[in-house]
Amino acid sequence: MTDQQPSDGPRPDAADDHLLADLRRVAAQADPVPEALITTARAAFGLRELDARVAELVRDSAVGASATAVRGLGARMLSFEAADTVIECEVTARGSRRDVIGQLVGAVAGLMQVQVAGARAVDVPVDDHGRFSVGDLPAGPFRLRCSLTDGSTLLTSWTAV
Amino acid sequence: MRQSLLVDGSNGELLKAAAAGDQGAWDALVERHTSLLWSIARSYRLSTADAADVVQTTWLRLVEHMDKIADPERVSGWLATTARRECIHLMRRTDRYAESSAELPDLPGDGPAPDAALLRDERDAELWRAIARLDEPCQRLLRVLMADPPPAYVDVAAALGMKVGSIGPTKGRCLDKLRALM
Repeated sequence: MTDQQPSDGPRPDAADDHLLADLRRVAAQADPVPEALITTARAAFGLRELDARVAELVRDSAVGASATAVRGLGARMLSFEAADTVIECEVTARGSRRDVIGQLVGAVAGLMQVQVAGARAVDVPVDDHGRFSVGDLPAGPFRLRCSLTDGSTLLTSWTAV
Repeated sequence: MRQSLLVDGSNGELLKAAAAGDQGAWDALVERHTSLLWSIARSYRLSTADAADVVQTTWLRLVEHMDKIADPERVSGWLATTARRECIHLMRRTDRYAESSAELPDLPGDGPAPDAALLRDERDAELWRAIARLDEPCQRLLRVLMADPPPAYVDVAAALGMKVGSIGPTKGRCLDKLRALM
């Protein structure tokens, strides 16, 4: 940093700060955060589950070297894993809606639910082999909530579909 | 005492309070960081729908991992990194164009609409148009820096996958380029 005499005018840092402040103000007008987004972000707190395990997304057929879901051809396969438990999901898009069929392997669920942000959990029928089907979800983040017969709760990591 | 937590509390204090069940502390974290997350998503030129998904999913992930954050004081860096990952995941998806043609396409170039018409002040409109003429890396950096409150360089670095020491110099160069376009 060079020394400057008072008569040299604004320091370059100050000029940059002023320009950025202008840009920040302009962005707030031209491209503001949608108010609804703040509301749903606050509401996300209500979706907290203590003591639940999270099955992380370990495979997404739409991404990576093995990407197979190409422009409307075929469904998108998602795999979620937690220890020895796997939840496979096949997601099909119909316009702005999503249908999900899948299977829970490695654990038994007494009850399965699907959650999308901003809506209440909806029960999903699951058969003796862990197969389930849920249709007509809105596009956006979703997760599955499994109440297992061992008393524990398993959640798939929130994933945007 | 609680009011001072919400207003003056550090990010770590807010996160710990939220983890203990305090909705107000969570709301304060949302107020402080949603602009940053929105700016990150828009800096990657995501449409409004995709950007909203990224921001939404990032907050949901924090709820998911709230008790397991290794360094609560660095939650803004965690949020910025998570948003970046969500943006990259979304951009890498090959199924994003599966929607019917009746819907608006999520074209990569469909970035922040240069809605200069909304800006009454002519200089503001000129500024916004000039941003759109910068090279992509400068547009991206400046868009993140436009978050409110101004983000720390370490969080900007996490959002863009840049070295924190390069943020300051690159910012200066990009602003000079912007001035040259005005």
